[in-house]
Amino acid sequence: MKVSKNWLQEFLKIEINMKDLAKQFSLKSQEVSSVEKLTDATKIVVGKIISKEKHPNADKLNVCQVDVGETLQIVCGAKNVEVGQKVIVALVGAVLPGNFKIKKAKLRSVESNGMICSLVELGIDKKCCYSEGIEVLPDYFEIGKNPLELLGLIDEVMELDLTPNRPDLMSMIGVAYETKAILNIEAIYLPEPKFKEIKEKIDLEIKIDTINCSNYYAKMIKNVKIGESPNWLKAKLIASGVRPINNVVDISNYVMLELGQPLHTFDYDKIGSKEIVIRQATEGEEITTLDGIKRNLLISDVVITNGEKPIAIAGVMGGLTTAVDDSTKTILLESAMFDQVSVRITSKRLELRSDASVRFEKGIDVQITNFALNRATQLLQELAGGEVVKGTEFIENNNFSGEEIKIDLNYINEYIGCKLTVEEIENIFDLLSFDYQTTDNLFKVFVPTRRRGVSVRQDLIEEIVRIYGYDKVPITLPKTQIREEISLNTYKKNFIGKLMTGLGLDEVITYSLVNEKNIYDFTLQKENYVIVSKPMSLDKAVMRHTPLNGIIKSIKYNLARKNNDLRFFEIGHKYTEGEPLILSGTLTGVIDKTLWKKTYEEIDFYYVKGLIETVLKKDKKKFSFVKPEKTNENFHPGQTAYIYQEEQLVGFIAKLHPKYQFENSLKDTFIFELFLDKLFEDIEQIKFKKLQKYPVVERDLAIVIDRDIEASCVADLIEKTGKPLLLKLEIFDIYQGENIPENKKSIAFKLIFGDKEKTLDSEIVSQKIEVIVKEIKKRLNGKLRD
Amino acid sequence: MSNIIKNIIKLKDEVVENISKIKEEQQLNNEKAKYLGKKGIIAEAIRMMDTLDESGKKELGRVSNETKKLINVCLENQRKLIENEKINQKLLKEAIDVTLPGTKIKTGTRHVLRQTVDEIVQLFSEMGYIVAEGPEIENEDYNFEKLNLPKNHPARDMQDTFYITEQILLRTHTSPVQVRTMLKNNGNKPIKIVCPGKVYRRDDDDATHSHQFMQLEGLIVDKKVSISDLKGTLDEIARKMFGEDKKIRLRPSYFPFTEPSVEVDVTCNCGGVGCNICKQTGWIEILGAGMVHPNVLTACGYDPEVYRGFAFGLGIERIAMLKYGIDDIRNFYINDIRFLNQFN
Repeated sequence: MKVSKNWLQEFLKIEINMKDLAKQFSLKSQEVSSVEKLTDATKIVVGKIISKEKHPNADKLNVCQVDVGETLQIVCGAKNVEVGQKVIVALVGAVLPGNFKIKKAKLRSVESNGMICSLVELGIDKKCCYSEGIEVLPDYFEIGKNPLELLGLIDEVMELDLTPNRPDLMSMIGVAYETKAILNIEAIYLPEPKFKEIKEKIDLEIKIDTINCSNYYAKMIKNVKIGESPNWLKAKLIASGVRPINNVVDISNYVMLELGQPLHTFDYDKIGSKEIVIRQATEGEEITTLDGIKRNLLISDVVITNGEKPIAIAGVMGGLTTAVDDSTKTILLESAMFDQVSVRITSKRLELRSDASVRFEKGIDVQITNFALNRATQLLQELAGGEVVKGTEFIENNNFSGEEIKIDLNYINEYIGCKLTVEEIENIFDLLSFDYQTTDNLFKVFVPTRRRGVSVRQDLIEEIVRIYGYDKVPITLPKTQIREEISLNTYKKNFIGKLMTGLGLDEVITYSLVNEKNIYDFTLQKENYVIVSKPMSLDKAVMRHTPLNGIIKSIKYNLARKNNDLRFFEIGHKYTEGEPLILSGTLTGVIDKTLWKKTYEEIDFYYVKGLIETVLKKDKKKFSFVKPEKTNENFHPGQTAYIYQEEQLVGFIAKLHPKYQFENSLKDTFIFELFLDKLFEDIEQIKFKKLQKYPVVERDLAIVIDRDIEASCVADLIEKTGKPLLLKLEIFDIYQGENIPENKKSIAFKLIFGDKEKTLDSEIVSQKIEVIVKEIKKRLNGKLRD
Repeated sequence: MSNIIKNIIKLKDEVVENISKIKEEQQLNNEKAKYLGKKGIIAEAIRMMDTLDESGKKELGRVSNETKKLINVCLENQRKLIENEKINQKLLKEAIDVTLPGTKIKTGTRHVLRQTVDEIVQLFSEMGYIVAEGPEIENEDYNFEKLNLPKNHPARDMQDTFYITEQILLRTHTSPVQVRTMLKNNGNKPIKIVCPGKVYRRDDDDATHSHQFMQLEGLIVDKKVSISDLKGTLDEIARKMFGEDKKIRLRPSYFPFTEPSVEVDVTCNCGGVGCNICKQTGWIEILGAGMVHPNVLTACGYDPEVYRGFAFGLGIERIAMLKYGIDDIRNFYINDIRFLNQFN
């Protein structure tokens, strides 16, 4: 909402400062997005074109002699410049918006001493100017005077950023009430509109056939003379950001801006009947709106009809067939209340957001409808010479007179946390122009209909506290105490995040919406996924099943910028039922490369496995890494392991398939995932185990075994057989080649034995080793390496 | 004086010089044997003692003892010298250029958004709030309806929504977690929660908009909660987040789920002079807040005649951008490692 100072001032008894008002507005009412002069051009005068000659060296330019009190030669490029016109002249030394300084100049070797201006050049918004070229002023403007003053364009405009609960501020009258309340000054309100009626009675029948129109008022004005509006009216429209068109259209816009009630004017003679029927459109019905576009209507749209065909879309836009034009004689003026939601649905669907529809959508003051009709009638008589036909034809189903809210002083003070007195609160109601009755400490407040957002006690408290001033509200802290443990998910996110960064991985956060074609790129299963209806782009169409989609994208982004060594993780959700939490990661390149030392570790499968094992240690359960028989086609089949906790799949590690890597310009890339919803479910309290007191015995054991037997198989067997004396086991060598048969390999283990009760006899260890070797022979057909 | 004694005296001078020239430990041992060994020069001389008279014997004993002592001292000194030399050599050999860069040992960085969330959550935890979370794919009922945002409410325009079906959507704010928490508590338990999480709105991604972003909401529901409590809480948080010298101000605003609603500004680092960050106002908007609307309490099972509450919500990206001077919201989701590692 653009608020013109000149206009607002008409409602107020004392001169206001717009900067102060803006400050108070932002603290007590609505956000102010700007306060600016309507135009800040200087050294502008009225001039008269005495003569016009073609420029000798330029086809499109004219050399004009202009009388501004003295005669100036000015070169002008506007098409519409003519001898005898009164025009706006920026003198040498003038500064136009954009810090454009007017200097004495030679234009193609002809001297020019100023500039003949259009309103746009003076800083008026282009959409509010109806003249394409220079502004032609009325002949009665006195030469040498400031034309902006004569046009009423010396003004300041405050633009308000309105919240949806304040439709009352979409009118000057509403802004005036608000200004009165927040500045604590007196206001003047509009007198009841006055006009003369002719004897002829209005001959029109109105019928409402829909619940979406509650009130409809119409007046007929005959013999209007379509023409230009007076400058004061045009100036107000321009300051409000509305383009002046002709007196009839301007008046309806003016009243809408003044009172917040959208009006519509029909050319009565074009309606083609003597009835107005408001109803829902029928399926397949059409109307060509004022903008010349044919609209297909739906049953959800409300239309104004002549009893037969639609002549306007209610509250949204009029029809072309009944539009007012230069030849219009008789006007049917409409002021109505249409349903907010209905207008909203229609205007949204047709993408027709007009000043009118926006006001209907947010809600207008039910008590202003008839007043606005009369106000416009008065102006039509005054400014368009119309004869007002006797009577108003109307249907009024809604005669709401405003909310009554009862509120107690104690409640107000408790809710705000302050100690206001009855008098202070009464004073605030007075400022707001709310009527009230006070009985002891109880207020009965009659909320005016223009403030339709105020309907419950809390709304009233908002009114009180904002006018009182939030700066005066004391500072206290709530006493609320609750006892609850932090949730397991929160705990998991925290400790896993700390662990991963400790292990040298960087955390990323990526988008949840991904391209549908990539949904299964890194998943173990093909589960149903969630599709966004009407996605903004193909790349943001479905909810991901793994953060890996985004992580790989980030990896590619970094590789393209020569950041080659990347270790990323993300803790995020998989968007399937229950939105389970997962940890995903991707590693590529080398680790901690210190170039001059020339030694560094390439990331390989076992590095990633080591990371995962470190994380899984927190769970205390036993996990197995299993090579799947078949897996995602983007995974390297020989370097993929699924992680199980007993029978339950809890994650995986995979190298990306060379083909995928090649197609995506990736180097060797490893990905992993842990399904956190299945892990760390009960983190046990750590229990101290006594340190081994007696010396331990260390033995090495090299086993030769079939090549396709996995190391974990042998290790498990040794561990099982070695218990309880075997305390620790570690693989220290894998060998295949010379001295080992073709299809065999050697695995060397370091075994540590110990007894908790006494020093271990080395004979007993040897016996144990024998048992282990026997067991390996028996179960895995392995033997000791020679 | 007998020749034997003279020889030994002569030996004294010779020994000192000889030993001081020795560079190897082995040689030192040889030398020791040569002088002091069983077949050494001194032993040899003593064997000849019988050839001397009584005073000669005494003199020989004295001289040879002195000489022995001297040799031992010299040997010991020289041994120390050799050892020191050895250590010095080793040190010299092991000397390095300490200005060469150290071996790279990298710790990872938590994402700056996560760090920001953690910091804020930490502040609230200290004030007794508990973290609550909820799904990102939500019911329209929880995202809008129960929050006093019925269908076709104009305020729904403020939040353009990704719909999945007519009833299912991507949550546009973290407020449905409030709804879920209230419903879970059956309308008879106080609530004190913060809810961080991802939210989604149909915005084209640009420097200041992102279709996905993070919010953190707080909610207190209890029997006696006031606007002054809200103001006090926000004041506390703003000072802890932005500095003890900071002040806040509340301006009226509108959210359908709170009444009254306020926007909260914090004083700008420019100290009120006005700068680009605060758009010359001296204040920076940091969050929205308000008293829980009675319709929301009712819809979520709390009696608004008995219970009141306040809620606030802030954009994590915005806070991080203000705090670190980040100028483009897309940085958070591109994950350029040069960006990520700045927050280590």
